[in-house]
Amino acid sequence: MEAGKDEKHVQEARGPNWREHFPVGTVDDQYVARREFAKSLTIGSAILVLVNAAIAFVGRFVRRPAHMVTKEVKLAKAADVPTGSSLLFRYPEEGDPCILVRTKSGSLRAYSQVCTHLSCAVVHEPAEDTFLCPCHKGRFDVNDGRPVAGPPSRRLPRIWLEERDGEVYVVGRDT
Amino acid sequence: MLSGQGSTLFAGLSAGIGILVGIQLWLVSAALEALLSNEPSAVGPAFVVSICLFAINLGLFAHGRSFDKRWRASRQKEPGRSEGAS
Repeated sequence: MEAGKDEKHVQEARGPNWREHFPVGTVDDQYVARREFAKSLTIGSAILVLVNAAIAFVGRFVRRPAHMVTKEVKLAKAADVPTGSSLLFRYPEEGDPCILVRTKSGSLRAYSQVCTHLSCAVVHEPAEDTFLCPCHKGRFDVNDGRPVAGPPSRRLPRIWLEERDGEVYVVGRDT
Repeated sequence: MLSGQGSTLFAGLSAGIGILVGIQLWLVSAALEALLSNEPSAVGPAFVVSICLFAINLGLFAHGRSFDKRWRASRQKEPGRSEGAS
């Protein structure tokens, strides 16, 4: 009886049995978990550098052509598009709406009419010489199609034109 | 040297590294966006900045590793204690 009591005291002093098999305390466990988490984040950082390197490699060596000539289409007479006016057309397929404008400076420009944000149709604003996307108030410069206001971050794909003998021809479209 | 100190240190390091990894993620998305819109001029600077952020992350983690080495050494010196945590 006395021996059993002593054994119980020894057992209490030693702690529960499972501690012998799992000697790692909570504080040590937290330490290791946080150390491993920091290590994982650093490895993730290295992976992101590799992804960025791959993007830089593709951007440096795999250039896409500036524009893709698909087919030549006669569009309109140049005189039919006075300064500040616009003309809608479809190019290269029926499902690709485009817009032709004559800018304030007198030059003809054409772009895809599909906003690069969420694909609404842009309209010409002659007063400000910009394209306006009415869905989210995005604006594009008519001279080069770059976004100047609102949520769009990419420029409008340009439609390439040629003017011959008073006629306007569409010759290509940006990819 | 207490494990509690190490926990606090690595929590702080993880927060710092996490913020920089978040910036790196943003750089990747911005670089991809620039690449897909055929304007690769932003891709190179994004790569350089990403490398700089990685170097900072590596420095922070190296600081934690040096603490970890001292922590392991101090544990091994403790009498009657076996190496429990890896």
